[in-house]
Amino acid sequence: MKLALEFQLQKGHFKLACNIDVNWSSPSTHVIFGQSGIGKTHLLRSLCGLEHPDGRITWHNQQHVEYWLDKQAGLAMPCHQRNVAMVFQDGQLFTHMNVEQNLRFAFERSDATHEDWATCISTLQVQDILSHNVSQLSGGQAQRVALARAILSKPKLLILDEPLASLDWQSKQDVMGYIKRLNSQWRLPVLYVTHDIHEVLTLADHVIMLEKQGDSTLAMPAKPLMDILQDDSHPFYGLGKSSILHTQPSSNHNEGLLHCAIGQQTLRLPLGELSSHETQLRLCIAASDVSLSLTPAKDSSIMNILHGKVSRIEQTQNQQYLIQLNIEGQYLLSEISAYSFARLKIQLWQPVYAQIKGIALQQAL
Amino acid sequence: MDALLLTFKLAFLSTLILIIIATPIAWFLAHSQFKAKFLLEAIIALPLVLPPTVLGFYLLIALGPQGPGGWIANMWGGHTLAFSFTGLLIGSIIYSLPFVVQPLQNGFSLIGKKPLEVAYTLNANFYDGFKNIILPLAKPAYISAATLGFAHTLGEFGVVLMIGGNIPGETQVISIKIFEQVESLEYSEAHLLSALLLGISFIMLTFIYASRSRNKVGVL
Repeated sequence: MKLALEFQLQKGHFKLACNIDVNWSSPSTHVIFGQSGIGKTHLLRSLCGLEHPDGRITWHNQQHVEYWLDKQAGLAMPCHQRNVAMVFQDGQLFTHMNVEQNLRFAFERSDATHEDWATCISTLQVQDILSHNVSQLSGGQAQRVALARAILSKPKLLILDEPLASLDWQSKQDVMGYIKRLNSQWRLPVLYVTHDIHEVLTLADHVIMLEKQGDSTLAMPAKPLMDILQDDSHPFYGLGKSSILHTQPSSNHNEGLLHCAIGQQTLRLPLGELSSHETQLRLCIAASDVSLSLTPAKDSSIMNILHGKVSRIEQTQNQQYLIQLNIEGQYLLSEISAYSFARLKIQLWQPVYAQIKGIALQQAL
Repeated sequence: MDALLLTFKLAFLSTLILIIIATPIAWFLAHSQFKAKFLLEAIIALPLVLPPTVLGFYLLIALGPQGPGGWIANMWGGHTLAFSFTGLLIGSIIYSLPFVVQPLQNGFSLIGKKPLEVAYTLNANFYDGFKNIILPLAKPAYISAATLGFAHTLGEFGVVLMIGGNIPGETQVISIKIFEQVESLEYSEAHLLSALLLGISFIMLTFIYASRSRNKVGVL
């Protein structure tokens, strides 16, 4: 699936230029990232047909091409024919309807089946609030209903416009969990818009940056999150002093620890709120929480030790070294002092052991 | 009794037609980006400030044999719409238009375009979204608009006098009848009709203001 965007939008002094292809080779999440006020909403409105900029927007699904916008040909497919669902920052539920009626509105206008209805309602756990009035819902519940409503319209593309922005921390975690679950269940291409770096780290597969150049906003080509975090010319690189590991949790856990496989090796995580039902668990690990040793420490209290090879060495400011390790094909960053670096005589491609403090393993959903 | 029935028939029909006409006008005024829409707003608000006699005078000319009204009347063999119930209906509609357009316009502005846009993203077209989302949300505004339009038509006098005259059963509405009764010193009959109109108007206004305090949407 591919969305080809070649358009310019001008609104008063605001200019947005978009000349990119957004590719979903497998159903995945592309995050559009940019500061507030940079024009993310304008971009989305153009995509779903609420605004008609100059240029062309096409949707490609295998051999099939749909023209959503072609200004030169005088063609602009109206929003309701594009079948793009959107979840807004504040839910935007219809206030004159209860939860069930909101969901039915979408359900009756799509080719969703009764099975879809049942799955959707149980996945988002809205069965108990179906008869509630919209005004009775908490922020997190409202966003869950909005997500369910979007899913029930059986969209080609799901757009989430800062869906967590108006939620408190706890609801954010909850709703993020549901979003992740939706992704694995419905396998929809998702465009997720945010200005929150943590949401990028937890949800993104690819990142599209919106950047200000002169007085116009430019959309940058999509890049895999992994590449961006390794790229020292990218603005995320500083934040990239954390790395992301994809692991497969196993269903058996003991002593309150969840075992997560990364290749042949295993990480142990405090079970806490972690769910072992996920097929993939993404872990975000700060470089400062990773120390190195040349031999596997047998008598250490640190329970997570991974074996890997040094794949990059970089000196950073204030006498620190940032060491990139290749662990089972994935990258892990470790920040160590110049003193330790010299003492361990670390060289490229040298095998090392990375010790990860247990608490540094955050659930990144 | 004729006058009372006629008045209610007139008020009912004008309100019905007004709601239908005012809906697209109010939607346009609330949401259009059209630069010169203030012109339309000014024209619609004219009956608020014009003396009814001025409005009535122009209407009389427009409805008469030389105006478009005469031309329309020709289609069914008449030669004027003045001094007829149809003419009175057209007059009331024009006269009460701002009272119906404005509450609707305010209601639509308050609701905003967002709910309709959300409906679009859920595969609903404009008519679907308007009917199932905007209309129910604008219900309080419609109640205000209809009540005001109705009450205002009940109280109409100047315009009716100018274009309707005083034909019992055809154009003689309550307000005119009261005027006639007072002129001929039939005070007790005038008292009865006046009190009736006062009561009805009061009840209707109470109804508007009560529903207004319940709903934030649909203010005047």
